[in-house]
Amino acid sequence: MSIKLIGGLIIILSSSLIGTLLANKYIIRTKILKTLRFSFQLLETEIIYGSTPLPYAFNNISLKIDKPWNTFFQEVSENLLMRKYFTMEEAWNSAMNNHLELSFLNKADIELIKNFGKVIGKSDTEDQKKHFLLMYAQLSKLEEEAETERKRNEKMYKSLGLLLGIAIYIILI
Amino acid sequence: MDVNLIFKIAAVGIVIAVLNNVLIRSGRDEMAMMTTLTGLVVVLMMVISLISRLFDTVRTMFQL
Repeated sequence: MSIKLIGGLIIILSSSLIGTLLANKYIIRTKILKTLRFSFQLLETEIIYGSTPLPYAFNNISLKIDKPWNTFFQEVSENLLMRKYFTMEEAWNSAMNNHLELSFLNKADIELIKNFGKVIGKSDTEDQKKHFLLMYAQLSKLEEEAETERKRNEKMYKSLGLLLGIAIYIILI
Repeated sequence: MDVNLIFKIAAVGIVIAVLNNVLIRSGRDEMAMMTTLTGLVVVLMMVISLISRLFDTVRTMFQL
């Protein structure tokens, strides 16, 4: 009797944990996009007001932000300082391949970041400013989309996990 | 004939109803319908042996 109870408890607990895990995907994506916006604001300040060279600018902002972007910018900075690649774009893309494969971003987010790697550091500050503005506009669209998706799915996955666990337990009992 | 089966079916019904509500509120009507159908099938699986026993009883009663 007690074994049955313990087994049922394990089933319900694990299935509700799976639900929470699936819901976390959406929470983490919104958080990552928010951090990305913050890090681009820092980068804009470094470029436009500080006129810092890109490798040092990346290094500076990597010290100020949270995961996963700190390691990403750290690696771009290292790629540039060690002269591993010929262009800025290559350094940016290689760091992206190393760091963003396993993150919770979807294809549109990754494409946006990749596109930004193509234009950064290629023109004067006035032009860069425009690129940053465009980037912010696109980023806020993605953020909005992530937020609505989170609202729609977070609660559903959590309750779905718990309820399916209870259903499995009832059917098996 | 055990009464436990009735309680079990009632519990499945309650859980399926709540699941249905949750899915409809998050805008997945097709999935809600599918869960309802699945619940129906599961309950049917539970009672199908009893139904067949009932038919057998009826048959033996009237000697068909």
